[in-house]
Amino acid sequence: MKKFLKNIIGFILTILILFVSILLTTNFIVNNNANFKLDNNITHIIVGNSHSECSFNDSIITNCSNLSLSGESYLYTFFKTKKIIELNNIKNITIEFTNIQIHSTNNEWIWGDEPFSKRFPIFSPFFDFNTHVFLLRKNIKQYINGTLLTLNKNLSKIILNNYSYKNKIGGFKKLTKQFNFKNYKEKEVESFLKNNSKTDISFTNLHWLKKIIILCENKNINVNLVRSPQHLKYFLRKNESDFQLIKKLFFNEVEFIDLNNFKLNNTDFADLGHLNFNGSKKTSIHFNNLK
Amino acid sequence: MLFNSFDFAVFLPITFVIYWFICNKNTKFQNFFLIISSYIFYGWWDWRFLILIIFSSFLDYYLGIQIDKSKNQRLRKTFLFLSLFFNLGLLGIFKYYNFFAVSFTEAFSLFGSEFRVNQLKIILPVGISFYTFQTLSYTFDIYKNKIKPTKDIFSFFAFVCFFPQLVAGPIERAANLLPQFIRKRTFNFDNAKEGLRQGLFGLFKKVVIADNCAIYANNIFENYEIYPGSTLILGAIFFTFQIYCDFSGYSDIAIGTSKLFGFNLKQNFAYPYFSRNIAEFWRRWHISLSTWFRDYLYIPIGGSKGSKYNKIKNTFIIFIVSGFWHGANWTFIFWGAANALLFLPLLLFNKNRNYIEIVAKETFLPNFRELTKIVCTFSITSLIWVIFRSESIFDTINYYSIIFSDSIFSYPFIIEEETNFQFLPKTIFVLIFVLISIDWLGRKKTHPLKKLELNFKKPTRWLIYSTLCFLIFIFKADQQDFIYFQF
Repeated sequence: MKKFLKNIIGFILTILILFVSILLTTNFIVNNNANFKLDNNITHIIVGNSHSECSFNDSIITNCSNLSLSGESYLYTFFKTKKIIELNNIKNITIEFTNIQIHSTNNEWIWGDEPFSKRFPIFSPFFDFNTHVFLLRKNIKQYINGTLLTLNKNLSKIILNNYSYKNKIGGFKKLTKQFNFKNYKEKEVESFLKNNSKTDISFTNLHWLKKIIILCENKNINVNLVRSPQHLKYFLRKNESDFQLIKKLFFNEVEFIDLNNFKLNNTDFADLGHLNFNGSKKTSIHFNNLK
Repeated sequence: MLFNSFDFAVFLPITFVIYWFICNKNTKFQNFFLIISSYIFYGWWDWRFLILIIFSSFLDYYLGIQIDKSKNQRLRKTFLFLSLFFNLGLLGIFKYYNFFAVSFTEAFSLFGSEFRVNQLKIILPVGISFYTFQTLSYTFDIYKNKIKPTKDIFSFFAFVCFFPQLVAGPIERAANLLPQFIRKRTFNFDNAKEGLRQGLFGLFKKVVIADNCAIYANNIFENYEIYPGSTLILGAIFFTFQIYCDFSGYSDIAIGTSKLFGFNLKQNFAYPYFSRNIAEFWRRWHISLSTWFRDYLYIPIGGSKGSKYNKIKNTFIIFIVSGFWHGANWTFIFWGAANALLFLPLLLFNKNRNYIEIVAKETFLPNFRELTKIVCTFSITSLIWVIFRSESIFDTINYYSIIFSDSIFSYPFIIEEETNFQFLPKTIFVLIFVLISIDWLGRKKTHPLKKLELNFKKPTRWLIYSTLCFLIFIFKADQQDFIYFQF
């Protein structure tokens, strides 16, 4: 038994050392070669989640690239922004800051199963040690899974010699559908709100937003927060008092562009939280005029 | 709990350490611990289904003793009937009731009747077909006086629920496995080492080959209408390797894990895709099920003895029942019947036992004749798997009609879904080739990596294991259930 355990432990340790070495090496190679280059005329980027992804048509906004991505929490946005700033001549950054982004659902977008299989393999080569430890402690099972996928992605990049992140880091999303208000079920929303306390706040997400702001300020980049339009019936507006309080307490010094009550018709919404193409066109023209 | 999951990676070492270091003083205690571990393993899906296993175990434990005790043949038959009634009854309710309900309703509607049989809102308990057959073989063997019933309840319960083979076999016989629970077990270094090797190779087959083939097989079978015949042939080939690597991979992990705990399970797959005819294929595929049906169904109804009519009838019965065992769908019945049709000529011309030994036993490569036969058998098997994989007979017919159309000559294409591995389409063929090569080199052994130390020194062996581990890490696709779980 002793011999067996000795062999097993020896083999597992060898494999672990080998695996970690290869992972670190490939992370290093990917990190050094990662291509986040945007078009030369881009000096302004918009980052955030699906709200801004559907709200800002960057073909309408001057010298701007919308790099928002559905379900992206600020942790992943931070590392994406960091790489983009390093490789591009960015002067302005607009960060989506909506009611949902203070909500605890963002924790799921940081260490839930989905970000570990979709975001983590893309961005983990750029993480620092503490971020790795933080995520490992939050969800060890998915962290291991994500690490295996990272190695897989890294090797793909190295073998194919393709380090471009274009089309993987977000962009404007054109939604053509219109929300059917007949299907709106008030009772379901009420029941959701009952089960999800409105005071449930993701301070982790807010911590990473703060980090993005500090990062930009250190690089002398102009930062502003934007709240894209949400329908009056959108259930997450109900945490408005918390939202205002958090904004005042943590982000009072940052310029805040509030488009929450920007005048739009029902036909401009794809659903209560997201604009369709019509809505995004009106919002983008207005936003461009604000610049 | 899945063998290819993180949960199992934690569960296995903990169980191993407690089993050998804490429970090793007493066999009963070890068995009791195995029962608890197995229930945790099984209850991980849904603890409510444990009630079925416990019921089945109690029932057959009691009936086994009663059959043995009874001197009266009628009474013995009654107890055997009770075992059959309850075990097959459970299987019937959970697995087949809704199928018959739908089939009856559809049959009546064909004649214009609106007679409806209500369906039950139940889900199929994982592995019910496997452990039901295992316990049934126990009462059958006692009835036939082949074995004596055990009075050690812990041993019997552990035999029924032993976690490595509980949910997808191999279906063990009491004569082989039960005595292993009764006698004292000591740790055997070589056996445990073999177990790890076999388990590792099983994991490689499942994670690297089966799960990645599944991505393409699922894509093609789910969208077969848009693809040309040439792509559908690729789909059939992908599924052929998926099901082999999925199921034989599971068996390898099960057998390997059992070895770690001091148990030896029977070989379940013996390189079936190197078979030279369909009869040989069936001797090498899912051996524990084939032999179960042979011993408890085919031989009791007369086997290959008697008139030609009897031979034909018995062959169809065994293949159709075997097909139906796989699932409550007409596709499985037709799949069984198709195999019977292919097997029948061999039986009638006494060629069904032509190839008992593995191909090219004395040579490194097969001769041209053998190779042709292997390729033909493989091609036929792949085509027959289409029936098995299709959602309905309607889909099977459509799939075949596209294959056998002019589009078979067009260049195959697959609409790529986003996968985590960017160059998978090209590498999957390389991986299949690697698998075939490893299987070919190891075809004379019960598993290809057996007795590796005879040919390779330690550093080379470790290099082989590390490569397998590394391939498992990097080719890890999205975790998929084992196909045979649904049976």
